[in-house]
Amino acid sequence: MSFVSFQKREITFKLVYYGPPLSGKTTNLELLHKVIPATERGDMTMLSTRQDRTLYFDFLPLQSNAIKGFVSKFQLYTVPGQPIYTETRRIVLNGVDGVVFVADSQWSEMEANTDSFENLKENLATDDVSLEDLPHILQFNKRDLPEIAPIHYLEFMLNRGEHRVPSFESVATEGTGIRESLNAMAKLVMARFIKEHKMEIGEVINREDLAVSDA
Amino acid sequence: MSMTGYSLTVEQGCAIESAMCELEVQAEAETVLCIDCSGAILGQAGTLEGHILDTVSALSAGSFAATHELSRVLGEGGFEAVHHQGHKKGIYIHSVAEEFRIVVVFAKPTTIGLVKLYAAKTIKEITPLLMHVINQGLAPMGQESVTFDLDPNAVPFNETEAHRAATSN
Repeated sequence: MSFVSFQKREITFKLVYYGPPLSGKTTNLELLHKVIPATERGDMTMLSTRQDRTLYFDFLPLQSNAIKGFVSKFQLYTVPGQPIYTETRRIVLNGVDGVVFVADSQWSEMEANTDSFENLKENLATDDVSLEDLPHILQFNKRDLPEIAPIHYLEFMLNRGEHRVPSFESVATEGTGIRESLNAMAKLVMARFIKEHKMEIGEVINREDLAVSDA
Repeated sequence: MSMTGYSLTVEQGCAIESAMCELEVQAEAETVLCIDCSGAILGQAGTLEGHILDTVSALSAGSFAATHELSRVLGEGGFEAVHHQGHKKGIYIHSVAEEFRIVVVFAKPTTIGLVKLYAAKTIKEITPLLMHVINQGLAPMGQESVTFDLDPNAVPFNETEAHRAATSN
């Protein structure tokens, strides 16, 4: 749910990193915090357990000048991956503009990937949002490990909808592929925003035309 | 609220900031924010500034949402307000027009009673405005001449020079 302040010339977007436990969601944000210049980001906030597992969410604020004349603010959130935290994930998803699904490439985690992907769809549905209608991308993480599934298998498991979405290979611990994923996600969300805005302008102008013709 | 988003006109933004300034002065607060349920900031007043405001708003929205959900699970149907009290500072968060929150960060000698009193007055004043904002969507009347352009070749986020050098070797 993007928000425009014409007063501050700012647009705010919310992106959520979703995925199974230990797939690398928090690592994505940690490395983005290292990789992106300090002028374009704030501090990272982590709400974790003593075992460094995400308890509620991690948060990283970023800003970009990709839309002319406006500052585009991106609020990056992760969700806790463990199955018991489904209510927490639903809360974090509220008002989301785009989802980066971080899948674990290891063969042993295929069921966890599909379970988490289904859980994402279910949690969105409780807010009457369909994943098909929401900008999202897939990130196949841990590509440096042994015993990983080939990309075509992961695509078959997670990316066989009517409209296939962009997907990226990554090694989040090394920072490989994470900025590319973020930039693709940000572009999708901004393109969607511009399209929706143009449609709403059309509706406003139509309303004004109708008002004139009524008069 | 529109699933795709909403916007504030310049006039609406000024009205909200003015209400936040008034509340900050009257309640002798450190910082006052008007945020939405996702943590986006509609207006603010006070001493906190920069990216820390983004963090405060995200955590406040998350804290309120978690407490609201807790109340729902307990059959209460949702708390209207949350108050966190520390040794020196306190935070008061109150729901406005369902989708928005007023966040008041205050320190001694200001009291929670004073904050609640003036927050209630502010909430009453801005509720009609925020109700209107909910319904106006992304292109409110008067702002339809504004267009947004995205450079198709733009890279939203670059990397630090140090990281670029490290990865290119």
